[in-house]
Parts: sequence; structure tokens; C-alpha cells
Amino acid sequence: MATNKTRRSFLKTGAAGVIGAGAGAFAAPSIVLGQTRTLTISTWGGDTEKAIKSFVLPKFEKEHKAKLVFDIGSMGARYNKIRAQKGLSTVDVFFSTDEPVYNGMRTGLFAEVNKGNIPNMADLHDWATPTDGFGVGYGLITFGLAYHTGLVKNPPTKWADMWRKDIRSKLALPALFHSLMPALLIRSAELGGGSASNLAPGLAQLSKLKPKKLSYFWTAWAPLLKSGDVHVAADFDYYIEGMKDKGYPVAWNNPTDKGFATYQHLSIPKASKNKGLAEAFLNAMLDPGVQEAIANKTYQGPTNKKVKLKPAVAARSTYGDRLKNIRFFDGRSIDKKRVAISEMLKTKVLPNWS
Amino acid sequence: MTESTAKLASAISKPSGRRWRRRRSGTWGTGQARLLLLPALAFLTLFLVLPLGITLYNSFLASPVLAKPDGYFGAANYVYISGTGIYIDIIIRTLRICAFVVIFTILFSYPTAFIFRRYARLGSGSAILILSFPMLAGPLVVVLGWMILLADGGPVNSWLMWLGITSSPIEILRSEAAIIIALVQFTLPFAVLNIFNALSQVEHHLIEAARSLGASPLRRFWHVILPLSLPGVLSAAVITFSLAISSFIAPAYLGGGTKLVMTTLISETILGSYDLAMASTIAVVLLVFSLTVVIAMNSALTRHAARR
Repeated sequence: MATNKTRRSFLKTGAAGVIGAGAGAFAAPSIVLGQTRTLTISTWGGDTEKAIKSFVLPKFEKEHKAKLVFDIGSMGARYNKIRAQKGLSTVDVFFSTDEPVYNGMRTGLFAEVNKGNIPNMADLHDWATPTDGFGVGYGLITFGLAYHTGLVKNPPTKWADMWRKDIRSKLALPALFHSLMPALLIRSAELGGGSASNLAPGLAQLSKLKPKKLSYFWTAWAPLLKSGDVHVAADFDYYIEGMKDKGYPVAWNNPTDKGFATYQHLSIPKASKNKGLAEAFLNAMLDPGVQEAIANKTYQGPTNKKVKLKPAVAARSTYGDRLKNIRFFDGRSIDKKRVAISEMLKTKVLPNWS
Repeated sequence: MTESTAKLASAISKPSGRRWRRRRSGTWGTGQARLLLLPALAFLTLFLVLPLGITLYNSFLASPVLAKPDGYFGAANYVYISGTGIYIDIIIRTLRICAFVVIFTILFSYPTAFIFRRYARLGSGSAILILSFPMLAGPLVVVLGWMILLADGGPVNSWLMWLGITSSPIEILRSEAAIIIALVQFTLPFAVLNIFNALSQVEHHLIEAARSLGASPLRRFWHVILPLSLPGVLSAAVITFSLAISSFIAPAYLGGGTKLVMTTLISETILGSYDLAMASTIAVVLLVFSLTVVIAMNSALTRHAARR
């Protein structure tokens, strides 16, 4: 009995200790941080995260007495997460291309921003606000043709070159459900005599290709470029510029029949409880100094007209003359057809690629 | 089995009446003992049963691929999948890959485990540790290694050409063979450990008895060792199948993105086109196939144990 009492009292004391320590641990941040607000940024890892931490975070946290916390992951995974959480999402700023934003606008996931809280929006290019106030583009990148500089003697200069005999079976293409696949299907349809509203020729055209690799990110096909399995890849300009800096034997061409422009976009989920602070963050991302620093580091084209890039960086970014030879697709229209397009690619094209 | 061993086994499996009664009337009654299960049950309910229930529910909602009215709840996704060629192809490919992985893994792991067991005193423990490296390194490291080895310009093709087996590189990457090779390597240690344990439990005096009755090594293996180690082979097959059917990294990286299996199809459907209903439907189909095969294998295992 004495033993039982001892054991019981020990358990009680232990439980009280654990509860007390747990409560203390949960209470501690609010005591320590006092009035500090937390802003949750949902973004990609790697260069984007590093750029935010280097060029935005220090000044922003100091100016706004706020703390930035990061939710890192692929765009699809992060978007599905805020979709699943709906009103319970803790994300305040969502980084993505423009593709999921149209979907989020349609399904009521994102909030309209208050332009009065984002003064830098006044200095943006006309094309930098594709989503009618549901967030803003902070960068512009172009989808074009990369090639192995040692193995490709006659570099591809137009989209039709993907069907060249020496290229069509040495290709890395975006994954079937990649956000740029609808644009590639539309261009393929045009090359085959169709259009955005007549995609059947595009499916037939794409079926003629024999891609070596389908991927969401350049790291998946980069080893195959090195081994010589892949000669040409359809991918973003800024990825390829980053690869060059890492020593890959690769170059990138903006197709003469226009590369596909893609926004790097910022949105604020409706569920955010820090909308004002999130808008201040958007403003910071549109600051000319920040955009120039991001371009210098990652080769993403700026959306702020006031940014003047150095010639060496300008030549490697979606900026200056490159802006004259890029094509913007109708994101709203693509969003409405997106599932149908993916299903067409899966059922009509994939069997020929398997 | 010796008399003393039999007594010991009997004591372990069926405690004497007095001891059992003492245990029942002790501090921990069965009701209290069941309470100990509560945390695990709560965990499983919250993180396994509930998500599976939600997935099952979502699978009956209409995919945007199908023109169904708002609020639809029914089996349309299942009907669509069962009538669409590419989905059937992907299901068949998944099962085909799993079958080959199980066959090759068992074929390679049995002799390996047998040799390890035979030479247990000569440091086979270290060999098992080395063999377990893929388990420790994780599937991503294993797969990236194979990507380099199996590339058109990689060492495997270079060796094949050097040996004169082929004059130009064979496309191994982006094939089912590449996925099978990587999965066999990954699942091999799991199977070897299982079979090694089963072989370790084969009592030596039974083999000696067979030898003393004049059985050749082959007959001793065929009539004594193999039947007694079959439960280990079956459980190795169950583990291998479960790992293969749920694998994602090997098909995603080595299949080139074009050799979709069910796991990669689920990922593409949910991450690429945000189609939760169709992704849930494929997940349920995957689960049904997986459970059916595992239950069938377990039932074979139970029947084998009952016969013994």
C-alpha cells in the first residue's frame, strides 16, 4: 500500500510537472515576444527563400516589429494545403506562379488587396497585375528552350525545333500536370493547325515526341543532361541561368515565336488574420531595391518599372528586349479548362510516351 | 522438439492455471490493461481511420473531369476509371512491377539469407549490416545512384558496350526495368532479414535427423529446411509487396515521368490538377488492391502455420 501511495504521488507530481512544463512552453512565446506579430510566408525553398531572408526579412522585421515564419514546399503541395485548411489556414502570404491564383480567385480562397496599403503598386508595369487586385506579380520569368552546349551543334531557336529528329527523343519536358503544360499544348496545337479552342492537333503533335524525362523542377533532368541522355529541355530562363552558374554545360534560347511569360505571384489568403501586415510585405517585395537584389541573385525579371538592371543581369533575365518577345496566355480561360486539359494529356498523349 | 523445450514452450504459450489466476487478480485487471490500448487506438483513429474515411468519402464526390451536377455523390469516378484505358494500364503496370519485385527479391534474398545463416559464425552479421545500407540511406539516395548508373551515358551502358553485348546504349532509364531494379535493391535487406530469422529458427537437430536417415543435401533442403522456412518467405513477400506497391520515389525518378504507377498518378492528380475526388478514388483502388494481396498472402501464411 505504501508502495502504491508512493507510486501514485510520484505519478501525480510527475503529471503536474509535465502539464506545468507544457503550459509554460506554450505560454512562453507570448510572454517573451510581447506585441511581436507573426507573418506566415508560404513559399518555395532554395533561392526564393534565401532571397527573402537576405533582402526582405531583416528590414521588414525591424520596421514592422514582426516575425516572419516560413512554410516551405512545392507550389502544388502548399496550394492544396491552404485549400484543405480553408478558413483555418494560418498562411498570410502565398508565393506561386499565377496559375493557382486564378483557381483560388474562382473558389474564393484569396482576398483582394488594398492598393492603398501597397504604394509600390503604382510603379508596376501594366502587365504586372494579371489577377485584378487578387495579389500582384513580383517577378516575371520566361519558359523557353534550354540545350546542352557541348552536344547540340544546331541549337533550337523555335518551338517547332522540338520535333526535329535529333531532338525529339532527347527532350526533357514539363510533367503532364505542370502549370506550363496547357501553354505548351496550345502552342503545339497552333503548330499543328489548331488553336487554343481546337486542341486536338496539339495532342497529335505532342504524341509525336518521345521525351526522356517529364519533371516539375530542373534538378530532375539535370543529371540526365550531364550524362548526355537529355540534349534539350523546355524550362524557365532563370533556372537555366542558375544552372550555368553551377557549371552545367547549358544555354537557353527564347524561341523566336515567343517564350511563355509566367508570373511569380504573391497573394493573400482570405483566412489571413494579418492582412494589413501581409500587404506591407507585398509592398516590400515590390520595392525597387529588393527587386533588383532578387534579380541579381536569381535572374527573375522585376515587375517594378523603376528597377534598372545591370546589363550583365538584364541579358539573363526577363527584362528589356526579352519583354518584346514573350507571350502571355489567358490564365482565367486555362484555369477553367485545366482539369479537362490534364485529362486529355493523360488519356491521349501519355499512352504514346509510356 | 526435446521434452524440456516442449515444456518451456507450453509454459510460455499457456500459463498454468494458478499463475494465470494470479495474474488476473493482480493490480492490472483486463479492464485496466485494455486502458493501456487507448492511446494507440486514439492515435490510429485520429491519424489512420479518420483520414481513410475522409478519403473514401471524397472518392464518391464528382471529379471535375466528369460533368456531374453540384452535390453529386456516387460511384461515377470508379466507373470512369474502370472504363478508361490509361487507368487500367497504370493499375496493371503497378501490379506487374510489384509481382516482378516480389519474385526477384525472394529469388535473390533466399540464397543470401541461407549463406548468411550457414556462415553465421564467420561474420555474416557484418554482411547483413552492409546489405542493410539501402534501408539506412533511404530510397532517394538509392534511386539517385541508379539514375547515374542506368543513364544512356552511364556506367552500365558503357560496360554493356565494352563487353560487346550492345553496340549503342540501351534505354534502361524510363523503363519498368529500372524501377524494378531499384525496388529489388531497396527491398532486399527487408526480405533477407525476414528469411534469415526464419532459417535461424529451423532446429538443427531436424536437419541432423534427416542426414542420419540418409537424406542428401538437396533432399534435406527441399523436405526440411525450405518447408520450415516458408513462413519467413511469405512474410518477406508480404513486406516486399507492401513496400513496392506504396513506393513513390523509384517510379517518379526512374520511370521518367511517363511510366506512371498508382502512387505517382495520385500525386500528379492532386498536386497538378487539384482534383481531390479523382486522387481519392485512385488511392482507394490502390488500397483495395494492396489489402487484397496482403490478406491473401497472410491467409496463405496462416494456412501453412495451421498445417504444421
